[in-house]
Amino acid sequence: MSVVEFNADQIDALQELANIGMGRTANALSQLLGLEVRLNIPQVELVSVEKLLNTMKERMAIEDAVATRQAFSDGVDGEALLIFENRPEQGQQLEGEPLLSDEQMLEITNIMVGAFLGSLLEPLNAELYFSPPALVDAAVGAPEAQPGWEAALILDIEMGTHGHMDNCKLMLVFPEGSLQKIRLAVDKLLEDL
Amino acid sequence: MSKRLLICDDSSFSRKSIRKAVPDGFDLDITEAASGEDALAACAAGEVDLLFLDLNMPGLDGFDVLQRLHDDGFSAPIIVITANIQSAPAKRARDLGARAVVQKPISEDKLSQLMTYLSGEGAL
Repeated sequence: MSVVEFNADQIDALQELANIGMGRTANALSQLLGLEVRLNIPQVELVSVEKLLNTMKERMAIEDAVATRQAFSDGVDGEALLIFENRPEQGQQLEGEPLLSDEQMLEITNIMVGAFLGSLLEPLNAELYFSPPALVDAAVGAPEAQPGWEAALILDIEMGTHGHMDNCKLMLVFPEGSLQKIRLAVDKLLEDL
Repeated sequence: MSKRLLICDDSSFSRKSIRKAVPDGFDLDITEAASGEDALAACAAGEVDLLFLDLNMPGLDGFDVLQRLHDDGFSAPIIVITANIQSAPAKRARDLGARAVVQKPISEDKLSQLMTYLSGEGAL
């Protein structure tokens, strides 16, 4: 279990920040694809690193699932992991090329991670540095837990386009101390209301 | 006499953020609804002079609310405040009667501009 806990108000704030980040991502994606992107309501869950890695292993076992990763550092350290699952909507056939190319998935990773963390850490005036996003080798599967990883946030996000519903799960893992900074940032946002 | 502003958003954080951004200088009685269903009930009861509406909500979403208010001939101004800033859904919302579609997080300046405009039209 994580040593840091979030109450209902803090989770609600995180979900709204995810919603704003997702909206920005969908806008960029719709311009990239020339399609309207439908959005669900993001769900945020604080989990142990073990649960996150198990979730990732399960998702990676799904055919056609593709994962990306991007590290961030300085204001808050951590790593973002995204899993994309391409699947047809009910009654539709998935034909031809996948909806998203590798390049587009990397771009979405960049936009989504930047938008979410940017919104979240604004009150801390933290300047984050991001590594270039990279594809996770499917043959390797989920990464191993890194020393110092303490807890994780899972954001369940779905973005759909014509004939497809792409489930995109954003997972963030944090080393000791960074999650406390996240909670501090959320508390500042809540105090300012 | 105060105008009755209803803020409809499923997120408590978002409702409070919007409430905080409402500029001074308007005589408003502000209430909140956490769902589209509650917002429709308040509108049907004649309790709303201005509606701030989110689009992405569980249950009845903002489009459902706009459609039903449109069908019911609801005439008070509706401003959609949403994270979904794509052009197609914004156009759909305006086609269903939203006077404006603005991006979250909303600033006090932006809201002030909109409300001043509505006030100039006599809608507030």
